[in-house]
Amino acid sequence: MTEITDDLVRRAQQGDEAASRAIVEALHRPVIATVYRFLGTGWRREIEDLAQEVFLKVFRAIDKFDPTRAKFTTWVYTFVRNHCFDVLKKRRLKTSSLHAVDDDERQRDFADRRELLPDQDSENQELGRRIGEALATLGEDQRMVFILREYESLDYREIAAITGVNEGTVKSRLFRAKESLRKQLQPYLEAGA
Amino acid sequence: MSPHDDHGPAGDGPLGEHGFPGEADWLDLPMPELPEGPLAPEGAAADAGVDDFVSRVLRARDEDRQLDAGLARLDQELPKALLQHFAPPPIGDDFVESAVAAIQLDRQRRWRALLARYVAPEPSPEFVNRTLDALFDADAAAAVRAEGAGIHGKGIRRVDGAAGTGDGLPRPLAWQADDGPVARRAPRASRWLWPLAAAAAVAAAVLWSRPSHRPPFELQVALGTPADRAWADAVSPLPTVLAAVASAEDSDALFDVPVAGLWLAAATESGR
Repeated sequence: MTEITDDLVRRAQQGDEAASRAIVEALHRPVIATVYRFLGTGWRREIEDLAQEVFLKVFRAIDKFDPTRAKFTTWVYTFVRNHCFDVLKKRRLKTSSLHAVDDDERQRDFADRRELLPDQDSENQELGRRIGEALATLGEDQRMVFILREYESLDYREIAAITGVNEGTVKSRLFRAKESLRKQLQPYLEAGA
Repeated sequence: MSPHDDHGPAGDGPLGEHGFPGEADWLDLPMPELPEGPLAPEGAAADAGVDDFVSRVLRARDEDRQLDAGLARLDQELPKALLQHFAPPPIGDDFVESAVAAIQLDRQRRWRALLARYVAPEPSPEFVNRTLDALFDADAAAAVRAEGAGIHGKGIRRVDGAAGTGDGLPRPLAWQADDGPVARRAPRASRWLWPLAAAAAVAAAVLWSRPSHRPPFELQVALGTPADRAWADAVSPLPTVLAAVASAEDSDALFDVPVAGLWLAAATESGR
């Protein structure tokens, strides 16, 4: 992965296309993964569009980034987090009739998933689906903290900066999230043990 | 009374005028007044503030330790390897290319929108009419309009509404030729209008043909206009020119109305 240096960011701020490309290249996998895991499998079809919207927001505001105040990746994750929350807020504003569409979409999504991941056995698919469903039951704040910590391996300070809360709150949200997931995934944990 | 009251109000203690205390004095600093904490039991004495503060700090520390221990336990029970089964979908090969293209296009659009604020488009017919109404003698202009008369068989009329040149752009001039019914003698107004127009054309041709080392007209206006009389969102340099002319006549005039000649039209109306 290309290291995102201050110089690279400064060149991107000046409109350098190669620098912009290097940044997208370096960050597109974690951005897509975070958006997907936060929003859930029902958004699979739109996931690349949503990730692209995140990058558009990042580059519209890149002039305002100050390397003395935050790491660039931490700054980008604040856009990921805010965009995910915005997407869910907009979905809540939709009429309830769309829930049926979501269910249909989810069923089609799992069909697509089987096609795209033929090497995974059905048990793993089932486990992945179950983890996704368990994550979806968490509150949005807990879910975001959990994803940033467990999947993106960010430290508590970075997560606190991204979510706008103190480190103690980050820890307590993470604890509650993991406790909830452990209970929901207990059958799979026992089978694995 | 608290045992710390001997030191008087805040700022009069051992800190004195020296600011930060020395290392030896640090442990003897007076206790400031603390708000009653959420953990303090009801009816607790006011001088229990120190104990309350200490207990809160210790409790917070204990909670933090408990959280760390609980998280460590859950790390064992909920291993990351298991969580990795919830994997994101494969990413399209063209994602980076399309994202960079979208970013560049977005950047171009925003720059274009920004620059468009400083590019003067063709003035609208309404603007031209209002400006001419204000510039020409009101009576003469009214006479010309009332006559609707032609010059050598051609009528003169103002631009109507969104009349354009056929290519989607409004005509740059307010006057346009129209076929008159019959050839008539030129009216009184046109007798001085034509020589004036001819003289203006000759002067323009002379000026145009001279080798020029002067900057473009818009730049001259921009450089010569005080900042407080120029509008960044003006659709044309003409309002700025007119404002500069009017300013020469009345240096105290304030031009705080929108562009597009409204202020000039209003001034003419009030002068009629």
